[in-house]
Amino acid sequence: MKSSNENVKTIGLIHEDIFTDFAKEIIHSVVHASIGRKDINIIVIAGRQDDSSDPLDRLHQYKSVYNSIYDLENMVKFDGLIVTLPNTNIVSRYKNFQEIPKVYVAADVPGETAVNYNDEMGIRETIDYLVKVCGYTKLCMLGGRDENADAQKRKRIFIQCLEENGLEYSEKQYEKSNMSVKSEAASLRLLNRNPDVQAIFCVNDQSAVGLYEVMKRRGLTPGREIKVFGFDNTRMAGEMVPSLSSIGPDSATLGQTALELLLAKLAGNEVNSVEIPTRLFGRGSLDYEMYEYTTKEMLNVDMAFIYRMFDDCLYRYKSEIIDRGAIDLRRLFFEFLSKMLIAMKNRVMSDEQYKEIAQLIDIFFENGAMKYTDANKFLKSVDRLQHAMNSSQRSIYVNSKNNRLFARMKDKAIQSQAIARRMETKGYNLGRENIFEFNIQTTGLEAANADSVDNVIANYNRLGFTNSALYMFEDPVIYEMNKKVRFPSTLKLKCVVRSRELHIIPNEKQETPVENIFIREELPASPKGYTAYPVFCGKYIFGVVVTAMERQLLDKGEYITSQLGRAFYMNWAWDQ
Amino acid sequence: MFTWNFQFISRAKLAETLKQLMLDSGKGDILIRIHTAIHNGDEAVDMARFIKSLVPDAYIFGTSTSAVINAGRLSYDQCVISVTQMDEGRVASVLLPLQDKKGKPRDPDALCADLKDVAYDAETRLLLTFMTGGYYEAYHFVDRCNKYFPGVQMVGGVTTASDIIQKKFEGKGFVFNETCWSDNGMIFASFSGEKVESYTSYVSGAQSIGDELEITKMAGNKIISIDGVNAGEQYRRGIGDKVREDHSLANLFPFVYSEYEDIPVMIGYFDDKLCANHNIEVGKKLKRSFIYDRKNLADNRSLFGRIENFEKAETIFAYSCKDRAAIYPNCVKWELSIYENSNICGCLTEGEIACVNGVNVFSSCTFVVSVIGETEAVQLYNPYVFANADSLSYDNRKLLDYIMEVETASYKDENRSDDDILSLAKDCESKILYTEHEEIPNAAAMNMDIKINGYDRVCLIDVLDTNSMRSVFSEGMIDITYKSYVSRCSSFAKEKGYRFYVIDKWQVAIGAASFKVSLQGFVRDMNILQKLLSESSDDRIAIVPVFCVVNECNSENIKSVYNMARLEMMNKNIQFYVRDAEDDTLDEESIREKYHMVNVINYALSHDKVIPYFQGIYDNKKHEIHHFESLMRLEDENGVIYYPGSFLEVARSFGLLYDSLSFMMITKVFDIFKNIKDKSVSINLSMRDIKNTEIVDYIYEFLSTAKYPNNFVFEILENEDVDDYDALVRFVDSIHKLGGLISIDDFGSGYSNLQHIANIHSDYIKIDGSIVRNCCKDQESENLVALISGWKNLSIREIQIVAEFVENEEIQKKLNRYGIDYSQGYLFSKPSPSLEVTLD
Repeated sequence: MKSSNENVKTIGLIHEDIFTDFAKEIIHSVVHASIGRKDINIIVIAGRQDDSSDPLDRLHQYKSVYNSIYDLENMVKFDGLIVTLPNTNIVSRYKNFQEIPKVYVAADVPGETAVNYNDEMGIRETIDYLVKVCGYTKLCMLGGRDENADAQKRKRIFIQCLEENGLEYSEKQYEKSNMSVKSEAASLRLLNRNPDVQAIFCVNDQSAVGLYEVMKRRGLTPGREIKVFGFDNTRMAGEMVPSLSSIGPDSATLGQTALELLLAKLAGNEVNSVEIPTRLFGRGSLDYEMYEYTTKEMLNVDMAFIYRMFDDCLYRYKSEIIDRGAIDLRRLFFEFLSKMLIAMKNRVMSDEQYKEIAQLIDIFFENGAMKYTDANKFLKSVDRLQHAMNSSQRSIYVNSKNNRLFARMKDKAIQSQAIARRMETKGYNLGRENIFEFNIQTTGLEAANADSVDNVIANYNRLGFTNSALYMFEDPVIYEMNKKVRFPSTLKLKCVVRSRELHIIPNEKQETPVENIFIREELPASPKGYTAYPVFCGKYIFGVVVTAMERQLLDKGEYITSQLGRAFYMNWAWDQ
Repeated sequence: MFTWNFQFISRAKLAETLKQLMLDSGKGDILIRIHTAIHNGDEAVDMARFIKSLVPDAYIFGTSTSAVINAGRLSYDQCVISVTQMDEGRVASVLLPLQDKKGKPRDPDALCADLKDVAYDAETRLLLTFMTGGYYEAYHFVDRCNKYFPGVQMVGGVTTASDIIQKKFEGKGFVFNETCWSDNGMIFASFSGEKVESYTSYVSGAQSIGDELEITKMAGNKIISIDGVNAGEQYRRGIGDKVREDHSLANLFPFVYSEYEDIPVMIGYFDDKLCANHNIEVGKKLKRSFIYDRKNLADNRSLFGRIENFEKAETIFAYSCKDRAAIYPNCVKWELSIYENSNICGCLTEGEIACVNGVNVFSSCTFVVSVIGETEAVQLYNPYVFANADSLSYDNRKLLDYIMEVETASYKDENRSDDDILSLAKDCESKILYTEHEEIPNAAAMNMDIKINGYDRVCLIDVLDTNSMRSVFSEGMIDITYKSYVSRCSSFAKEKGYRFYVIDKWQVAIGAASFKVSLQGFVRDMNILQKLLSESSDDRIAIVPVFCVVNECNSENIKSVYNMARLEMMNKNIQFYVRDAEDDTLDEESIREKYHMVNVINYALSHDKVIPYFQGIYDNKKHEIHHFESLMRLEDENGVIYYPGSFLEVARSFGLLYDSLSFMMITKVFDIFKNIKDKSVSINLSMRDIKNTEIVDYIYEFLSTAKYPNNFVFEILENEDVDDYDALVRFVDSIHKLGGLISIDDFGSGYSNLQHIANIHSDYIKIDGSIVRNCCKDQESENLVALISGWKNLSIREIQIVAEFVENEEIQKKLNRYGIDYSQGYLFSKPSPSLEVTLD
């Protein structure tokens, strides 16, 4: 990111609680949509969602200090903002934010451009299926907070769809939750009130976690005794056990669309709010087939059919912007599947062909195909395909070979999932070790002195950031409850980590005006943009960590910086 | 024998030409051959009579045509006249009807007998034969001629009619002489004589494929069945259903005679019915075929080889099928150009008579050539054409499209009967997708892989400057190097699972499928290959191949992307380059901008909108402004002012535009200052201007007559690539002699050679703006100012120092401290079109 290029547009992404699945989904899709566009830089401004106003609540205290980062970011010059906030008054609190062109995501703000899901499509598809096909009559909803517009809208649609299907609705069937994973109490109440419930609609994927927990305790399995479906189709849904069916965007994602709208707005075009069509993605907790695989289509080896199969199997692929240098998985899928189908049709498959297809399948999985789906969904789709192909029984010889290829696909799918999981655990352990090491290195027996803070900086790379920068205030800024924080106009760039390597910045080059914290040349280049976290402990705000965008970091960035804040606090406090 | 060909322009011109030729029937027989695309029958006969009146003893042989061949070119609205005067040989000509009195086609034997009576003797060598269309016995007739006239070669064909004739007169093709014309007749001219020799051959470009087929039923010219099955249906199955919509596909896949292999039988396909353009007989053996570029090339090569070796090449007849010109336009143009300087003359026909190993055969879609003469003669041929046969491959486009469609469709094939089509496509592929000698996939194969097989990551590899190799190394050594280069690339590609293509000599390509390999992986492999190729060895010449990887290309853009990349590689001198095909869309903007600028410049030049602006230069001693620097501005039709930064670069790239701008600017400045006594002006000159004699002479002339020549200072850019110091020094000296002054601009910015600077006796030195601007900020710049001002004291000549970009008082104070003579900058004056400067 170079300040010299005036055509580059800096776009801020204002979001709360970026470690949630919904937030990660939005950030990921915005960032992905911007890849390949050299004229856009994305900066995530993360805050914490704070419902409490109790001055003695420790969490509220923490979040208040944390959210002071908005006061700082307010000084950075953004060309446009994408705002995803349940509580839009953060924007109204800051004057600068108000004047910048904005697009709201998943929020209805009168007079503002917004991108929302067309909730109705997916919900109606699901309820129609449950009532008309499955013949269910007892449907309940685990709802959301009263002030959450989305939650209220979904409730309205839920009721409407029931009534359209000739079912009566009473408030007994509804229970509100806080829309987070901590929804057990609400789920318990709902189940207690409705012991004969057949299907439950969770207002978002996260709230289903609590419901799963409660059901497990009662010996109930989602999908067997009670069908469960969520909303947003986050990655988490695919990872739950059993996997959660969820309503999600059919094509473009919220983030992607929001970015497009914002860019159109910046280009001076008039833009209207957009609704993204949704569909139900069926998984373990509610079987549902989005597409039919008919034998006739298969025998035709129709291109459109194979691509539709791909979209079904790797349902995330079409809403991702794929790097132009990467392997074209869609075409690859077409290549090996069409070869299998042609072999089936012609009743011949030579050994060479078999080997070639097997090789293509290997390439498919080695290049991260499973990133674009979840194992359950994929295996199920492949199963259906295999079943349909076997049932057409044209040549036992080819069928057996095709079955071996299908087996290979499933093996590879599971294998690559296992590897991903292992990597994840490894990464988690590594992160833990890093922090531990950092804590040891920044805590000594001797009394803290002037070098202590420098020592913390010298150990900055142990925190586990791949690419990041640490800015500090000359002196810590002291936060006072319910008072606007006055930050100095400059920060000092203390050190930079590039590809895990630490570079300490010499004193005379540290000074950085706040508006330049994302454009210093020393920053590691990040094609995906940056995220900023406040570094603080108690009421002392020490500075800001700017990291190059990484998906995993969204989970733990806040935790890591809190450790850093503590280290500074300990070393600095004694120093005073 | 003597032959003269000319275009008919007017009767007067015609008479004049014939007079000049001094034809004398006493010396030998005269044949006047006319092929016209602009006359109808009556007009043609009229013209023939006119000619006959001028050359009473000449034989007239005339046909209509759709286009004439004259001087190696095809012309669609001409009439060509070819006059041949024999030495000792004889000419005979006759026009015979093709129908008897009852309107039935005449029996070939009867025709032959008639012909034999008038136009044949034992010494007849060549029979020029034209018939009108619709005579279905044509094939039999030519066949019979072999019997009746043993040893006589035939050349000619079926007449066509031009659009003019067809539309204006609704006429068909016809033959004529001075007595009559007929659209149902046949005209002959025979050449006989002891010394007369001729050579006749043909080109078809057809490659036979598959097994022999036998015609089992005919009805008129319709082929009803082949090998006992419905011919039309069979044909369609072999090519594909597409022929139903696109009848022209039949031209790509004609039948050929089994016994000759490359004599096509043109067929028309319509609604599962096949018709030959003439009556071939039941029992005739045929083969399927297709026509493609390399066969055309090879056929032409062998034809030309024989014609070139024919000694008595006094006259050349050429007849080319009109379908050929329609389907293979590039090939026809190309093959005719071989003979462009010979006395070739002929026309387009609808069916030709080809002489195959001494046997005359009625054929289609061929190019027939006949050379004839009585004494030794040399024609000027153009064999270099063979070295430049690239355009031929464009004729393959339709065939390639067809193959691609078949390949794509093969994914979907419902029933296995399409195997026929696939094997046909495979046969075609084996011929047109591989290079001639090495049998390696060629550029067409690459395009096909890109288009239908998803090989859209392509690395083009080229070895530059192979010509200079030739001057140092032996042909054998070069050949070994080339072979090892190709084989190393090819085996590397094979090993990695990529495709390998030879595009041109020394230019090869490697294709990768984007669904198999990532760009990163492909680039890594190509890097390895480049290293591998650069490894030297004793038995080869060391080469440095340049690699250009194009990502996500398609068959349309790959060429342009590559060319653009090559340009950039050349400019930056890089040997490995990765380019995304999509990136180039961005360049369009700058290209458009550039052409917009060219428009602005042209407008400014033609509308007198080259406007001199003047910036005052402050005299630090006298504290006033009496000197100005002239600066060029352009204005467009909307009144927008353009600065040199936006147009100078473009003007330079179109050298002449730059010269015109310079010239206009200089004249204008001279004009403004020529009568002013107390103000002086600086004019910027580039090295290009100084080398431009027109400008320099103008300056000299002006100065020599100027009232105040020392008011004119010429500023020369020191940092520009001054490639000719002598010219510069000469210029400087001349200016001094004429009383003008010299200034060195941007002093200190370039990597100047101080000795050169010392040699240029300048009167002013202008310190580079970047130094001045920073002289208060950093010590180094200040030191430079001090250094340059010190130069003044060391120089033998009197030198004044000017500082530009003086933007504030602080700088001005510092400059004063160093005794800088003049200051230029916003602090004192901004550039403006007028000379009225007041100090703020």
